[in-house]
Amino acid sequence: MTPLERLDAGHEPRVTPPMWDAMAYMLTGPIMLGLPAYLLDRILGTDWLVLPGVLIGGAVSLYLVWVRYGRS
Amino acid sequence: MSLTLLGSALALPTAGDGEGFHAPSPQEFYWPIFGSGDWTFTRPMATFAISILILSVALVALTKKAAIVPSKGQWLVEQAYDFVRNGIGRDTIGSKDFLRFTPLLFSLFMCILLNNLFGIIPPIQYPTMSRIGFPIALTLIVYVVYHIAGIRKKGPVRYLSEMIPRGLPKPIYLLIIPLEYATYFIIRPLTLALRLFGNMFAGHMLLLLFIMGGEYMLIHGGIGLKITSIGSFLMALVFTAFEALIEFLQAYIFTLLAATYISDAIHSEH
Repeated sequence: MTPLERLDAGHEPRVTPPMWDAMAYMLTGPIMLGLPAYLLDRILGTDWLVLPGVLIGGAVSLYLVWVRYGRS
Repeated sequence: MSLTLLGSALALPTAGDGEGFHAPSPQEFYWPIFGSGDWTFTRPMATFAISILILSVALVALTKKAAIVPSKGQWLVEQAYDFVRNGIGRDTIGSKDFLRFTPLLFSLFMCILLNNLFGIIPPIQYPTMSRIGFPIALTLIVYVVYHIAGIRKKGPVRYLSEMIPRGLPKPIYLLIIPLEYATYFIIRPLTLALRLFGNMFAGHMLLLLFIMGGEYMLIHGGIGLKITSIGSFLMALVFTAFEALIEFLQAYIFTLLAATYISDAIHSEH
């Protein structure tokens, strides 16, 4: 083992992404549930589906952030 | 939008002049040099080419005669390389795999850092990454790398199944599975590109506003406005220093997230 290899050894990988990445999760829910709800609104001619879609999406997003970052 | 409002508020006192103050708009970022239509050669393309030229020449020249007791330039390059290799690569990807990805991470970091710093370096003063195409191109490279690294390491089936967190109540998976895949394949790369773009775009816009506003007040304004223009120029100075920090930080964050995505793709959580 060279001195450099010795220095490099023993560093564990970090699997959990840093907190900045929670941003991606926070956007996923509202987009993924809000967009279909909006399209459904357009198709059915209603106007009340998009709000619950976005809100439920937001809730699921928060849950996902907790699953990823809050559990350990 | 608020920038436009602020701009028009600045222009109000001298609106009688006939021309008034033009607040900076996204239009200021479009600088065609030659050509037209889809094939226009623009200013950010030129700055990007310049950055690659500078980086290639400087990095080769400074490391060519590597010595045990380094020159100032070699020391600087070594610090930057050390920072990316150990601080980002080794700490994030881990001892076993980080060396393969170090060239990519170092290139990304230096390329983004220099291009960001161009935003405050005269006479270039244009952050290349404030044009959305450049962050998207860099993100595409990272996107392809981490998915391929993950698939090669784990095989497609295991790679896809490990994206889903374990040990949650069953009914919740119905909602979570599509969301997790959307996060991994669409939203994550999207936020990676948009974060860099948005920070550079907004920062440059602020500088433009303070400098153009200050200039307008100094040249076209009455005595009162001439005095207030000092404040505007001072703010431009403060924000230039602030931008330097943001520009470094964004290069760091982009590289760190790229490393994390790679680490996430090739390692299992359990």
